[in-house]
Amino acid sequence: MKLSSRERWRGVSPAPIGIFAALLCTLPAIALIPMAIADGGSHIGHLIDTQLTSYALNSITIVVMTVIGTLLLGVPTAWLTTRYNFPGRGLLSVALPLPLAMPSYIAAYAWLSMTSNGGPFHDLTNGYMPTVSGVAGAAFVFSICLYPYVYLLSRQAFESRGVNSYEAARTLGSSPIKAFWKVSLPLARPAIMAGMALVVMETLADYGTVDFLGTPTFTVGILRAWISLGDPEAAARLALILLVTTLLVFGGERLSRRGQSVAENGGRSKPLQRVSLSSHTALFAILCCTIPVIFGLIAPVWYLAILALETAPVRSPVDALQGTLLVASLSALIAVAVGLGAAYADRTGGWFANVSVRVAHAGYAVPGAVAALGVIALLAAAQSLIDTVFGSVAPLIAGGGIIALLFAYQARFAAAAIGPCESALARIPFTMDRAARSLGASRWAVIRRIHVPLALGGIVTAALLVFVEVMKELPATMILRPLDFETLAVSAHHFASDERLTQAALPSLLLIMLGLPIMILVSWMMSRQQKESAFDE
Amino acid sequence: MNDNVISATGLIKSWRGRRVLDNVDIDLVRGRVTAVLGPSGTGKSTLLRVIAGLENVDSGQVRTADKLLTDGLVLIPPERRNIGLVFQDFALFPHLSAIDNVMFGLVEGSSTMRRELALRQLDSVQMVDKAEAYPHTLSGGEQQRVALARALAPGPDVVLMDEAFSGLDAKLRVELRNTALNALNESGAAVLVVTHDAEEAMFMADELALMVDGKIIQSGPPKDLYLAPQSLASARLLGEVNSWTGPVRDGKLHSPFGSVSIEKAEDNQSATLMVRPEGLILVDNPTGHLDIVETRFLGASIAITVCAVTGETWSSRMPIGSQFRKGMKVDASFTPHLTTTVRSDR
Amino acid sequence: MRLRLMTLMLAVFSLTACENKQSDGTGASGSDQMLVVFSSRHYDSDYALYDAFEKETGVDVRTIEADGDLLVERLKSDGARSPADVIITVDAGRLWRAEQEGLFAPLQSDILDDAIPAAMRHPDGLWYGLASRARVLVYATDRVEEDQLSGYESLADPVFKGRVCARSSGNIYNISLLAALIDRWGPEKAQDWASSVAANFARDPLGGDTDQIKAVAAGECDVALVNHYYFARLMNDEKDKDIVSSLAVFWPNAGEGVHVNVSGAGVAKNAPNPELAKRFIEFAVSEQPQRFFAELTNEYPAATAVKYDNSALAELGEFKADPISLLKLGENQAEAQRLFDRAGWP
Repeated sequence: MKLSSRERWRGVSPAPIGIFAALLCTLPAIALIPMAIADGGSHIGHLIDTQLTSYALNSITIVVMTVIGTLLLGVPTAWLTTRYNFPGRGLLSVALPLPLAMPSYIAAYAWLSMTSNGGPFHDLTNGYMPTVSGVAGAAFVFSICLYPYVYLLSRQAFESRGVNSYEAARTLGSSPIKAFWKVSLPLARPAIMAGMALVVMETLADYGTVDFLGTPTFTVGILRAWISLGDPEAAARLALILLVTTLLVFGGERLSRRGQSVAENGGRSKPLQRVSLSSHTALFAILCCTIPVIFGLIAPVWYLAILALETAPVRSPVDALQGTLLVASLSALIAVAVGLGAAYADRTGGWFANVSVRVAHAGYAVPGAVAALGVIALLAAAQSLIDTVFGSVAPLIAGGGIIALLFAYQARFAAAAIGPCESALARIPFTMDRAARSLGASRWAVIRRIHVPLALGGIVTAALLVFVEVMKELPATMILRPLDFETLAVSAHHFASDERLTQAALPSLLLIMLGLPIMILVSWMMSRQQKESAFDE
Repeated sequence: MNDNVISATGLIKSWRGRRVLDNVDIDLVRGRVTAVLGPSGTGKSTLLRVIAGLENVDSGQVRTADKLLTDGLVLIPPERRNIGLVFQDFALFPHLSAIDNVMFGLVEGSSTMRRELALRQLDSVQMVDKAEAYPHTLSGGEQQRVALARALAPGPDVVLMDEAFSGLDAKLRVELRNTALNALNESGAAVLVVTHDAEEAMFMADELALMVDGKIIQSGPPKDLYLAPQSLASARLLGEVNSWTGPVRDGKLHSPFGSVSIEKAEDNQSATLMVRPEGLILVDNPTGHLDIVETRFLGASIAITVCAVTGETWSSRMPIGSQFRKGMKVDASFTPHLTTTVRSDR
Repeated sequence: MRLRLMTLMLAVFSLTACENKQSDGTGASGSDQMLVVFSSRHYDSDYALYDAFEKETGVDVRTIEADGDLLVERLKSDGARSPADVIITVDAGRLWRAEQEGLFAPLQSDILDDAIPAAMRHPDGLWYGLASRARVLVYATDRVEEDQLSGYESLADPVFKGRVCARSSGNIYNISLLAALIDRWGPEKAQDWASSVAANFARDPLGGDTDQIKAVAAGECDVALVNHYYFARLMNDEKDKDIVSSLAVFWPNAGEGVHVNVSGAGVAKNAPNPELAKRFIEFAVSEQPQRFFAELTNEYPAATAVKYDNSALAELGEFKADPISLLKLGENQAEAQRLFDRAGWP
């Protein structure tokens, strides 16, 4: 009996798991297709004639500026904190990822308010500091909120990869800077690109920040087509254009890297020898690593804290806090299962599984509101299907509810879990799978007894990242939530959209406070993982 | 006249409360291969990295004839030391082709000249036909050759090899050692080889240093070290050895396997007798006091384990064709130059 | 597989946990009756209204709050099985859209017809206004003379080149205003107006209405187009009232009068409790809840007979509301967005 179940597992291809993940992540986007090809969409022509070019231009400009900004903030800080020793390095390397806990729309509220007339930064600099607004302002806000993606992933790359290559370059006559440019940076390119991809997708999918800062982007165009022009078909078409463009850009990047494998041989990595900096350069390093944290976290939190302290809350944030905890933790659990399944399919499956998993990543590029629209359309279709089958006894699945909400979260954020799970599994050599299988372990037992314990760090990281993302999510939560269900992001948005920043401060602050320990944990887990993998001799 | 390219003196370095380098002296001489042999984790690699300038020391000096390189405060960076380093995992740049890897360290001259030089270097390791290949498409041995060519291309004064052959299979290792030794001799650089493989160390080295727990316990030409180890630890590092420790009586050490005289030793002082297996000669004798408990066919010789009345066992190598079998009784004698006695000075 | 199963179980478990909590809540309020309100309003006045209704009737009020269009989409997809009893939106355009989608059930109520003026309700009783907001001009008294302003036209006056602030055109308040102006002036003149206003901007549209008021106070611009209730809120706020001390509101009474937008409520087509829904809407237009709108949110009650206590609204004084049919606002909405797009009003 026991043997037969083992045999069964051996016979099962993991591809279905990959396909499942891919479907989960892409169904809302796929649901847009029938919508896009439906009649209607008559306003596309109008948009092309008028604003679409400027929307697209704004999007491109913001993305380019944000890419540059996050690279400048993320890569040098990752390099400094991994390769050099200076006072405060340990603290800063943990603090640098923290702005990820700050939703960019909240950062936008705070920064606009701080730098516009009467705000503390405006007064402090006698009005010389430009107001954070427009294209540059949006790029600024995205840069300070999203650089941690680049920082975290490139730090991981700098720590684990190319230590030997870097040293080899040094012995071959390269200065530290040259070795960084010619060896470490190219080796970290896949990791940096992965971080970049997250940044670009979040930037493109954002609505709240750009709308508030007065710079309409392509996503604003999508929502206007839907809301103001009442043309969901046009919105669906524009959303698909955005999605396909994003996929092409990253597909192209992957293609350009084909032929060169950047995986280092052996995989043995030495414990890092950090170079101590002299007092001048140490000061520079401290400055470099402090500025992003001040801009991305300390300044806005400080401002919000003052506002929150000065204002008596009109509603208790406890319900919203509970709601946030519930959906965020549930989603984190599910996302890990999906992410692990997908990563596992990618590891052991054929090309079909691999392609499915790549496709699953695309879910991330769908703007939240559009994803929510897709989920609603999907559930409505499913409902009419089961209604015709079961009649009036059919359960109600359409519309909102926790399942719809969790589904929408997975569609958007499972991709964020697949990445870390994949890289955690990639660190486990195939020989271990084979060793375990040769010792009689089933496929499932290999996962349970080998992969999960070894990849635990990556899995927990994935769970925490999804937790933070879900915690910050707004449009899907707003529309799909069950009755009387509130999250901190929704409360903050309600107040902010009513232009009551002072009331929005408390839920915003709670949101950030909830995210902070999690980001600290992520940061700590990631560096611990590194230490473990560097353990030898 | 001093041919020392690098002299290291009194190197001390601690890592997490443990001395990884404990007062190490070593000289690297032009055209000569120096090998450091020791078990894993004894600080060999640290020594190499200190000489390369990848790590600093707590105290001690590394210097060239005219320049201080490392002394705990000063640390001339690796790129200004003119050294070549070959890593255990080769550390080829995965994003560069073989030829670009070799050209990486070449900065002078036109790109055609640099290319020429790199091709010549690849030729000397028989890798010209794979010049455009990327590292992940190369076999381990091929990667090793490229790594060697890359280290030698800039014409370094010193070449450092860190367990450079340990990732390869036995046959390839022998072949590559020859290639490497030829290429190294041709370059005329001072060479430091760090390894835990005794055969490799003896094969490569002109000068061999034995390292245990951060200390160099003995150094000299490989043959001297093999034949005249100054301690059991030294003897064991270089190969299998039979040993027996006991008190000296009448200027002799009386082991259950046989007696040898020992010089300059007082009675009752403890001393150790060390006999290489090939120096333990067995003689068939039905009334002998040793029992053969095991025989193993090794190809060129037979490994024979003998047991004394005390229950201790030693091993011997006898040429094939000898008729020793399990259960036979034998007597033993020692070949003098494969036999050493060491007094336990305490 | 087992992993996924586990998570599914977890999800279901927590789902039932949620439902338990909900039924607990119902039990605690001591009533079986529940009223579900889908609202795009999220103001203190509304919470006060729900509480008052619960207290009055013992019915448990459940809400979903989301931006108007998301709400419409959800109601559409829920279809016949929607739990919604009452639909409240914040803008006539959204009421119109919900009406177009057939989401409302007609309502016959003398109470409502008596309390709410005909202009503030749907002719067939599909929805009734609850409260209204006026779109006004705010100007800096030290830089703009009151007689320089005549109405919404003034924003297009070349005199104010580089002196006008307004929020972005995607905002529903702006769209509704332009929808009204299209009806008032015809599309060509409305288009010219939008283009001229856009040409007068002191800066690109940025932030919300409050930000426009603050920009006038800070001297970035001299005139701004905002909703009256943001201004009233600042007037009533101890901390913020200094911001508006040097500003004044200009009522564009000329011609048809001031553009007024309405928040309204209707009974959902598939309401599980239509009677209760009717009772709720009737309650919402009674005196106390109507005072909530004025006193907590600074809006004008739709039941014009209701007297309220709000010093800011009293100070702003009387105005003449545009009697346009609110349905027009919805019909012209897409056209208005297109005009804005052509005008280059971001």
